[in-house]
Amino acid sequence: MKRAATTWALLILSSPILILLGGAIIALCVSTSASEFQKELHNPVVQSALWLSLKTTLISLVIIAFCGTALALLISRKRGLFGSALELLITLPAIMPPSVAGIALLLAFGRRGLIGSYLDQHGITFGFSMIAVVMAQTFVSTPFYVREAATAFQSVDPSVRDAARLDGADSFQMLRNVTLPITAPFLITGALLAWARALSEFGATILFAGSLQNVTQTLPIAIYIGFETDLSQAKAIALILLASAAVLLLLLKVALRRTLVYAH
Amino acid sequence: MPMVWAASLLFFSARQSAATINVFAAASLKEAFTTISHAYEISHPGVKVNLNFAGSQLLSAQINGGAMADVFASAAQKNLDQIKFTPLSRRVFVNNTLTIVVRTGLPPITAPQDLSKVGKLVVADQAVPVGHYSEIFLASAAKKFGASWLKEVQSKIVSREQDVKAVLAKVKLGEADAGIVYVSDATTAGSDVVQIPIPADINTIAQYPVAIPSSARNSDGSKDFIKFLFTADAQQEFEKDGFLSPLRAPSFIEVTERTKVRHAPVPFDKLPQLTVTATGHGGVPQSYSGPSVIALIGKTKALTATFIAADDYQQTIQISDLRSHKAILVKSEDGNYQLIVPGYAPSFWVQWVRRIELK
Repeated sequence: MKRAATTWALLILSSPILILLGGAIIALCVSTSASEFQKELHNPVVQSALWLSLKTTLISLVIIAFCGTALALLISRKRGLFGSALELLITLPAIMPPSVAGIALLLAFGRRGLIGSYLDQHGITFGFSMIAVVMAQTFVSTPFYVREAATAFQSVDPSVRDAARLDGADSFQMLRNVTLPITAPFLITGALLAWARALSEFGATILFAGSLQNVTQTLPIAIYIGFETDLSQAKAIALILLASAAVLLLLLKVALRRTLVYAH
Repeated sequence: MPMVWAASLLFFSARQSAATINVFAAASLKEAFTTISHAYEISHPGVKVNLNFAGSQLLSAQINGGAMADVFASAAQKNLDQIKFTPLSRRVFVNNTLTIVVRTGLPPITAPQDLSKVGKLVVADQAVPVGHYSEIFLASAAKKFGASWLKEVQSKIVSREQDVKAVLAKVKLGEADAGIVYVSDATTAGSDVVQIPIPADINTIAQYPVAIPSSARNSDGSKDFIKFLFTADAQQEFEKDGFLSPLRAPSFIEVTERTKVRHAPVPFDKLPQLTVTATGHGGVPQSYSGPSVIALIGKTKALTATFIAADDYQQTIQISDLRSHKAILVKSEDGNYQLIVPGYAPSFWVQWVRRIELK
C-alpha cells in the first residue's frame, strides 16, 4: 500500500518530464500516416539524404573505430599530465555546442583557416564536400567512442596481461587475443553511441559543409531546410531518425547485457 | 503538484507584458530592424522590442507552431500567406533587389555573365525567399546568356543555405567564391566582399510585406510599430542599408482600364485644381487643394476606381462618388500624392497613390 503511494507520488512529481518527452515522441509517431510515410520513402530528397547519412556515418565510424582505438590505447597507457591533456581534448567536443564545433572547423580547415589556407594553396579544400560532412561527424562523435574505450582498456585486469606476457605474447598478439576480446562489449557500446551522435549531427555540418542534395544534405539538414514547404517530408525523415535511434538503443542494451555477463 | 507546474508556466508566459512587441523579421532585415527598433524603444520609453531573425520560411513555420509574434516582416508574400494574419494590417514597407557578391580579390568576375566562371557558387535554398528570387533571376539571365550558361552556373552551386546571411557568411569566410544575396546584405557586408550589380532587366524586385499575425497579443503595439516603419527616419535607414524605399516620390501615377495602361506624369499642374474642406484623422475640418481626381481619370465608362498605394494598401470607390464628393489628390512635402475624399472616412484617403485601376 505504502509502496503504491510512493510510486504514485513519484509519477506525479516526474509528470512534467514524462509529458514533455512522451508527448513529443508520441506526436511524432502518430502525426504521419503509413501511406504518407511510404510515399515519402520514394521521395528523391529523402532517399538521397538517407543514403548520404548512411554513407557518411559509416565512414566516420570506421575512422573513429580505427584511429579512436589507437587514441584510447594511448590515453589508457599514459596517466600523468599528457594523458589528462589528451582526455580533456577528446572530451571537449562532446560538451561543446555543435555550432561552436562548426565555427572551429571553419576556422581551422576552411579555405582561409589556420590549416586550410595551406592546403588550399595545394588545391585541397574540404568545404561543401562529403569529406566536410565526415569531418564534422567525426569531430563531434569521437569522444563517445574514445572515452568508453579508454575506460575499458584501463580496467583490464593487469594480471591477465601479465599472464599473457608470460606465455610469450607480443604487443599485437596481446591486443588481438586479450585486450580487444575482453573489452569488446564496451567498444561496441562506444561505437553505437558514436554512430547515434554522428547520425544526428546537424549544427557543425550545416556551418562547415553547407547543404546540397546528394553531397552534403544529410537527414537532419533535410529536415531543417524548408521543413515548412514540405512538412510530410520532414516528418518522415524525423521518423526514420527516431526509429534508427530506437534500434541503436536496443543494440546498446544487448551490448550492455553482454558486458554484465563478462563482469561476472 | 502538476497544478504548481502549470501555474509556474502560466506565470512565465504571462510576464510578456503589453509593453513588449515581439517582432519576427526576415534575416535580410537584421541590420535595419536592429537600428530601427532601437530608435523605436528610445521614442517609446517603457516599450521593449524583441527581435527574432531567420529565413522567412522558418519564421512562418515558427508562428504556425505557436510562437508569439506581434509583427511578422517577411521577405516574400508567399511566407506571409502561410500564416493567419489580420488582412487590413498588411503593408509593403520596403523593396529589395538581388546582387552577386564575390569574395574580395577574385579577379575574373566583373558581370553577371561571369557567374559561370566561378569555382564555388553559394545560393539560398529555394524554400527561402532569396533562394526563390535567385532562381527567377537565373532563369531570366538564361534567356539572355543561353541555356548552356545556366547549366554551367548550376553545376557551380556547391550549397543551398538556410538563409541569406548564411550565403553571405560563406562568401565572407572565403569558403565560397561567389553568392547571390540581396543588395541590402551586400551593402552592410563591409570590405570582405565585392558587389557585382545585376542589371534591372534581369533582376527581381522583392517586396517585403509586414502584417500582424492573428495570434498577436499586443496588436496596439504592433500597429504602432508598423506605422513607425513608414516614418521618414525608418525609410532612410532602410535606404542606407541598400533597400529601396517604396515611398520615394513617383514620377507618374499609373491609370489602368482593362488592358489599357496610361502613365500620368506628375505634377498635375495642367489639370483643374480644386480646394475642398474635409475632416481627417484629427477630427478637425481642414482645407485641402489639389488636382481633381475625375479630371485625372479622364473620360471612362468604368464604375469604380481602385486606388493602390506604394505600400500595397488599396481602397475602391464609386466614380460617381469621386465626382459628387469632389475627390482630389493632395501633394505632400515628400512629393507623394494622397487621395482626399471629403465626406469619406479617412481610412479611404489612400496615401502614396501609385496606381488607379478603373473597372
